[in-house]
Amino acid sequence: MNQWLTAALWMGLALAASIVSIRLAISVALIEILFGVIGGNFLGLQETPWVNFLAGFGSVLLTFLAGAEIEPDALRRHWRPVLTVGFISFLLPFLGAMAFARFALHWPWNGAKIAGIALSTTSVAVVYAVMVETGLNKQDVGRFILAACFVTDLGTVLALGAAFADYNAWLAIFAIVTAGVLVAVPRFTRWFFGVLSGHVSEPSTKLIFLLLFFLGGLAAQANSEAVLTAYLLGLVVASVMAEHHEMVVHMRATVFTLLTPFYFLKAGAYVSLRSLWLGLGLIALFLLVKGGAKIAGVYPLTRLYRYDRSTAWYTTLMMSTGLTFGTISALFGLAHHYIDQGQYTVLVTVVILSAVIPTLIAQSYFRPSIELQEGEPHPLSVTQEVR
Amino acid sequence: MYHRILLAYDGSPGADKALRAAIRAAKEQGAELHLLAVEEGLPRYAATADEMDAVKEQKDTYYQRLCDRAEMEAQLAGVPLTSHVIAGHPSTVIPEFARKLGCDLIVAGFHGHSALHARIFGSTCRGIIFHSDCSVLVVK
Repeated sequence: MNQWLTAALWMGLALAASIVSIRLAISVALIEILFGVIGGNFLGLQETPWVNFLAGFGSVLLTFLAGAEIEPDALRRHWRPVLTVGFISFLLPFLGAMAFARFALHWPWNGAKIAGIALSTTSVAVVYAVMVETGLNKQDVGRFILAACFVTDLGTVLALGAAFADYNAWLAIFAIVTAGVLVAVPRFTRWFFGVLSGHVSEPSTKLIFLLLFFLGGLAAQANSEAVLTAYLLGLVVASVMAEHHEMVVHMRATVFTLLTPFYFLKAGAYVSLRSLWLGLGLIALFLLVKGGAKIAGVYPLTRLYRYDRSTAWYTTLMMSTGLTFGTISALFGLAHHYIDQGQYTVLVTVVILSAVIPTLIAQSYFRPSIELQEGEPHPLSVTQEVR
Repeated sequence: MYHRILLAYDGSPGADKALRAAIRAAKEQGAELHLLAVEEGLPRYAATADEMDAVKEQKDTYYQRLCDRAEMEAQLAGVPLTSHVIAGHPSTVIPEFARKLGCDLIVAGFHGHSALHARIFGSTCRGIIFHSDCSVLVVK
């Protein structure tokens, strides 16, 4: 198949996924993964160097956008519980899933590390979507959960960046240059965006791409992972990005049209239906390990910080979700041959199920209520009065 | 008889009939009139917050336009109207909002889905009636 027909097949699947996701009101990413599964198992979806590049860049930009979504205020206001809950929410599932994979399943160490990292994640986006729909993103509890999720994800990307790196001169150069760039970038981008933002040639977006490519390239030299620098870069430019909404909209269009479809379709294409069927028991066990570790870590801490029982369960379940970073970690493991396709299939399925199951339980049984005072507009509402 | 009326509004022809009925009822009874538009179709299990934000911005704009249209009609009839836009599922969000606002009547339009559709997905009106504490007027 020539490259145009290959591209047509990939884009056809991406288009179909978009339409289905709009009709079902389910994230396009999830549907793209499912269409990737169909493409990989039944349509002979071909992987090419340019598909790999677009998919890789898609995962880097997804991570960058995830980092840029942080609300520094929430982090500052509740920094102690946020850091504690967020860190434990990363650490226990990481250690639990890694130990389970290594000692119970006898996976090689590197494969076990990938399992630990992939299942330690929390999906900020899944949680954010729920918060926006319920109005909890404007309440203290919602802001707390989101900020803690950021800390968990930071733990995940740090682990992914550090666990497989070569500890040599390249890593030292990478660390020093990255630190320097991260310090200088917020002030420089604020000035740069102020001067050049809004031009049709999108210099601001190109600057972000340049930084992502450069830092990602250095990370690759040190055998670290480009998503680490992408997340950190997103964190430091979050407030600048918030001031340039138009640029975010343009970047969003590029990312969702051209890049992330290739990433999520590729993530789905590697899922083997045969391995899925054979690994059903393993999937259930990994789900229990992830859920159990999150409950063991997050629930007691939230109770310690005086959340009532129901809110503590809600927080725990929300922090048990996972999606983007889980698939990124699993795909990283497969691409570097730390895990095989069967293990990848198991991990990605667990990650997808962890986006759905805890959310459904939390929303059905533990959703905190928002009380409306007399004469006060609903926290979600856009209110207008005409006299 | 009724003091605070909540109109469930989605811009459909049925909802437009309900709007006119609600305006008439509010005018006749001197009741306070609120309009609630429920945003449906926000993406669940999003991969980035941006995906949610993009759809939310789109929906906010669309529903705000609907509210503006309804407010214009109420204004022409000389009835004060307060509009609200909330995300969620109509059959649970509308009764919950009416309860919190202290409404004693919910007015909703009849959609007229097929019997099969109603059997499979349930009817919104039936859901509102089932979950509400107050009276519900379904306008056909």
